[in-house]
Amino acid sequence: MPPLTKMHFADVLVVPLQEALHDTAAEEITEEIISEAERKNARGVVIDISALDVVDSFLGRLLQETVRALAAMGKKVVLVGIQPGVAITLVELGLPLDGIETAFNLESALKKL
Amino acid sequence: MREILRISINEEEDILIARRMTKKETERLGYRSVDRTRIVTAVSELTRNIVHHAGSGELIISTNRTGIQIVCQDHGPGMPDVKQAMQEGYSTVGTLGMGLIGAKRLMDSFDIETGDNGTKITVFKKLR
Repeated sequence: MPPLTKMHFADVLVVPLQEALHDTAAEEITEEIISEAERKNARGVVIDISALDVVDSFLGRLLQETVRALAAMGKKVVLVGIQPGVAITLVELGLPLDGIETAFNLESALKKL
Repeated sequence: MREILRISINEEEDILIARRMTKKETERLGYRSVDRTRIVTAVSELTRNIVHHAGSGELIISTNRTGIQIVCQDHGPGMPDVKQAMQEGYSTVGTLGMGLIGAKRLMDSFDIETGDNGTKITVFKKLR
């Protein structure tokens, strides 16, 4: 698994996902995001997917589950940097990101938290 | 149709290789950005289907002047009820059906042949 970049802005955890994760690595990384948010007592989490030009049904579902898990822990989550092609294919796959807070860039994401 | 690429699919890493190679070909052929994403996403769904349900198989990419054809074939146990797999996809998120229906919606055509000797899925996307 490639190392997960973790940045902290005050009590907000920011994690950029790298391109090209295979399924097992993606599962490990999302689990690490959840435990890091817990460990650092983060109030909010920003997941930056601007480096991803493909989000298929597996990763789309995994992201939904991660956001739900973090929400269940009382943490606010914003998904940032969804590319146009990714937004369109997620809808076509039947995986619209309903109920998930999104933002155009990191700055606007931090404002939402 | 002229075959331009053939990749054997045996493990998760091969899904990434298939995606990377497909992306390169769609760029070379001149597909627009959103169509490139659709095609690469469909390849991701179909090759994952091979890894998870058959264990191993092959991805074959061919082109002609009108577009790109992608064949995913395996020698796995086949799909006993294709209709059911294709219908239930939306209610059972993350299952076999979802990936296949997804690939069908992302591409212009989708054909499936399945039986005791394995499964062959052929998809096509027009160059626009």
